[in-house]
This record gives sequence, structure tokens and C-alpha cells, in this order.
Amino acid sequence: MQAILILILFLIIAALMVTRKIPTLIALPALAIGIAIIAGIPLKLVNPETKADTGLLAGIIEGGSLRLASAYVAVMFGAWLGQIMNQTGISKSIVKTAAELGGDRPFFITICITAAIAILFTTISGLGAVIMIGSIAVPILLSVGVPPIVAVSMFLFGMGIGLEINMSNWSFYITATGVSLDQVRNFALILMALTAIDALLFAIIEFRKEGIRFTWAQNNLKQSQKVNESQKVNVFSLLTPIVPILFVLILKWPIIPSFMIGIVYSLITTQKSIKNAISTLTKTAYDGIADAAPAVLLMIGIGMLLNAVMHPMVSKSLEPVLKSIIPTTPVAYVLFFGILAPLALYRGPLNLWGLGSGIAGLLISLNILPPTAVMGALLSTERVQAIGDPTNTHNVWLANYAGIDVNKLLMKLLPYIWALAFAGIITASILFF
Amino acid sequence: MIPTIFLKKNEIIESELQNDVLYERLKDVNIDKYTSFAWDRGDRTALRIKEINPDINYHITKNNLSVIIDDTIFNNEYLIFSEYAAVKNTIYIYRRCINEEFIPAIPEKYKEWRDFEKLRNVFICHEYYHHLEINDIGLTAELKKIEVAFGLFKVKRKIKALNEIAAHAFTKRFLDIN
Repeated sequence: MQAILILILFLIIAALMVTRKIPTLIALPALAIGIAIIAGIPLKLVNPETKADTGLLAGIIEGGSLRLASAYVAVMFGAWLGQIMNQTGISKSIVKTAAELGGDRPFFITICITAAIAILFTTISGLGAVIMIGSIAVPILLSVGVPPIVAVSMFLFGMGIGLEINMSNWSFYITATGVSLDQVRNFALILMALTAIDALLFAIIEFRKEGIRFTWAQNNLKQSQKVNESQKVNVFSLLTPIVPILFVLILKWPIIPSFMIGIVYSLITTQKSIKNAISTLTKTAYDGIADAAPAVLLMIGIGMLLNAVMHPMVSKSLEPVLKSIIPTTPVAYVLFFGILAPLALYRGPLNLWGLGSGIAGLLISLNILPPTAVMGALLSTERVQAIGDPTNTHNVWLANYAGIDVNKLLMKLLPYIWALAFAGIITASILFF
Repeated sequence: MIPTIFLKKNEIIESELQNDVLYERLKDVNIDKYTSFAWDRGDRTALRIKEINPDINYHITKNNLSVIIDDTIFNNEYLIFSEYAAVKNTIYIYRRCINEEFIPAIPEKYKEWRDFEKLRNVFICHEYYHHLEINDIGLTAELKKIEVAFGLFKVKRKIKALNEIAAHAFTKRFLDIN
């Protein structure tokens, strides 16, 4: 009975999120508290042996808020570095240099700009960064004859490639699924490569289909909104986004210190005096944390949901239901998660940045699938969400900016990103079963 | 924002160059000879086409070009007024952008153009020039390339803005927008 009530609550909250009646920010804590109440978890529940309080107040709400603390602190540091890159002109220079290097052909310019976007999003994230980079990259692509829907799609693919190895995200995947940094890193690198191949296929097919376009367009930004044109940066500063990655991948440093090295490196290569460096450091810290706020709040909700679904009283009641639904053979695993991959869209149940975390937590705590297989499936379905979801604020902004409908954008991308999710899940089934 | 077509020749050129990928590298190049070439090319082409028939719609029909008026697309930051899709042989005109942003920004001197039906031909003319570039006369930017340096390497590159500069010159001459 408890299991049925929890599933009904899950479906109601999912429906409210899909229909955009309530934001994820509210839905996740509400679902966590609702599940705990249905499962009968008391306000206080002290384990006599460990003395740990796993009750609703300390275990679910407070413990859940802090569960992903290391992940959201990494997000803050990433956003801080991202702000330095934006405010000092590093991001703009990387995009412009890529466009110049792309030569005369729209196809190659598109590939170079997509690669530059991918490099940038290995470090930065958030809507502010998308607006900053999008308002430089999209007009360049349109000006060389790339159709708006292809330009925006390639921007999203570039973001998808970069975000796959954005270490703020790795920190989240590690904490949410309990797998090791090495396991996340190896699989993320494979998914990144698959996304890059998918993006290349998309570009080849769509360029052939759509051809080039000539666009009569004019920027209507107010002077205050325009990106500072006079910023020139040292060529060494262009390496900033890959500095933290090199420290993690090669020197095996943890994520936060690697971001700190990136911050120091960006300041050394862009600032002319210590006074300027300190001023930039302070300003970008505040701006970066403001940028990271939506992700931090989301992670607080996800943490509560994880603590709720992984609570022994909840998992005990859900175990029989889930064991009868979730496939445990490699072929069934591929078909199940592959076919259902679009459920990551519209904040659906396979979205790792929402209800999917709860499902991942349950599957892992009940030992239905190996944690690596759960991570592999959810990271693969996350590709559909990260690149195509019309409820992503960055998809909405980019579509509006290029004057296209965000749902048409999804329709254009869906065959490619669904195939990408399948490819990721097949890879996970080979690696983790 | 004053719509590009109602700017003076040198302002149109500067405005289009600013949108070019290579804009920051053009400061070291004597760009005038390139932009003058593009302007003259657009201008001369307009005279030639106008001599055949001064009604732009005659040329559109003759070349089986489709013209689609779109009422859905609008964004007030990066305004797209019209497009020419070469593969589809189609001109798209975005009426909302034109009505809400282009027309109100037309200077007093050109107030007779504050009417969508009349302006329609401005966009058709501009995009028809691109059609000519693709199917008849070749891209303006292909004809004059500049040499740019990337570190130790020097490469020849197209200035894409020349296509737009020529298209504006074509439109101004064809419709006598002075």
C-alpha cells in the first residue's frame, strides 16, 4: 500500500513538473517530504547503535540539504572561474579565434566554433555563460550562412560535449550515484566522444539538407548589453578552461583544488597588477556564486530526495515493485533505458537533475543494478535532457535569440540525441554488466 | 538602431564589416578597395537587372523563387528580417520583426517606406541579389580575398560582409533609396 501511495505521489509530482505547474526547485523537496511521510518516517529517528538521527528533520531535510555539498561547492568554484573567463574576455577570444581559424567554409567554421564552445563548457555553466557566449557565437554562425536551427543545435551539441567533462558535474554524479571519480571520468570521456561524433553527423546531414542561408539581421542590443569589444587577452589565457581538467586527469588532483589552480592561472594570464587581480577575484566570486545559485538550490532538493528514497523504511516498501519492473539482463537494460530515454525530457523521471536522482538512488540502495550501470544509464539519458530539453532555460534563450521555436528545435535534435542515448546505454551495458 | 538600408553608404559598410568574423583583423588592411568593389558590383548588377525589368517581382517569378512571409518568428535582441535559403530557392520575410522593430526605426527622411507592403520589396531585392550570387554572378566575397596572419602563417580569407554590402548597394540602386 505504501509503495502504491509513493508511486502515485511520484507520478503526481512528475505530472506537475512536466506541465510546469510547479518548478523542480519546489517539487523535489516536496516529493522528498511526501515520501518520508507516506513511509511513516518520524520527525526524529535515532539509531541506538550509531546515534545517527535518520528522521524527517535531521535525516531527510537537513542531511539531504548537505548530502551533495561537495558537488555544489564544486559548482560554485566552476562558476567563479567561468565568471573570470567571461569578464576578462577569455571566453569571447576563444570563440572568435575559433571562428577565424575556421576559414572560409561555413561547415568548418561551425565545427571550430562548436569545439570552442565545448572547451568553454568544460569549465563554465549556467544561463549567464550561455547568454554571454551565445550572443557572440550565434551571430557569427548566422553571418556565415548557417541556418538558425542548425546554429543553435550545434551550440547545444558543443555545450553537451563540454558539460560531459565539466568537473562540477562529475562531482554531482559521484555524490548522487556513489561511484568513484575514475569510473565517472572513464564513462564521461566515452560519452563525450560519442556526443562529438553525434554532433559531427548532425552537422554533415543538416548542412547537406539545409544548405547555406543568407540572413539580413541586425543586433538590437543596447550598448550596455554589448560585450566589451576592446578586451584583448594574452594567448596563454586561452588555455584557462583546460587547466583544471589537466590537473584532475593527469595529476589526479581533486576537483576543487583544480578549479582553484584554474582561477589563479586565469588571473596571472589576464591581470596586470595585484590590485586588479584582487578586484577581479572578488567581483567574479560574487557573480559566480549568483550564477551557481539555481544549480545549488536544485542540488539541495536532489539531496533531500536521495535521502528520502534511500531511507531503509522507504526502500523496503518499494523494493518488490522496482524489482519487478527494472530489467537486470544487459539486453533488457539497453531496451528499457534506451526506449524510455526521452523520459528525461520535460523534467521527467529519467532526468538525473531531478526525479531521476531519486530513481538512481533507489536502484543503487536496493542493489537491483550495479551502481556503475545506474550511473551509465542515467548519464546516457541525461544527454537527451542536456541537449534537447525545451524546459532548459538555455534552450529557451538560444531558440528565442535565433528566432526559432524551442519545440521545433527539440524535434530537429531528438533523432540524434535519442540515438546518442542508446549508444551510451549500449556502451554502459558492455562495460558494467 | 537605424535599419542598415537607410544608413549612408559608408555607415552601411562599417555596420556590415562589424558583423564579419574577421572584423578585428581588418584594421590593418586597406579595406576601402574591397568594399568599393563590392558596392560597385551590387550597384552595377542592379542597373543591369533593372534594365531587363524594373519590377523585382517579375524576376522573382521568372526564377521560380518562393517568398514566404513568416508571422511567428520574433526576437528583439538579434533581429532577423529576411533570409534566402539557397537549397530551397526560397526567400523568408519575417513580418513581426519588420513591423515591430524595423518600421518604427525608419528615419523621418524615409517615412514613405514605413509600410510593410512597400518594404516587402526591399527585402525581396536584397535576398534576390544573394540568389543571383549563388546562381549567376558568383559570391562577391569569393572574388576579393584578403591576406590575414595567424602567428607565422599568412592565409587568404573571404570577407563575408562583402556579400551583404553588395546586396545593400543592389537594393538601394534597384529601388532608388537615396
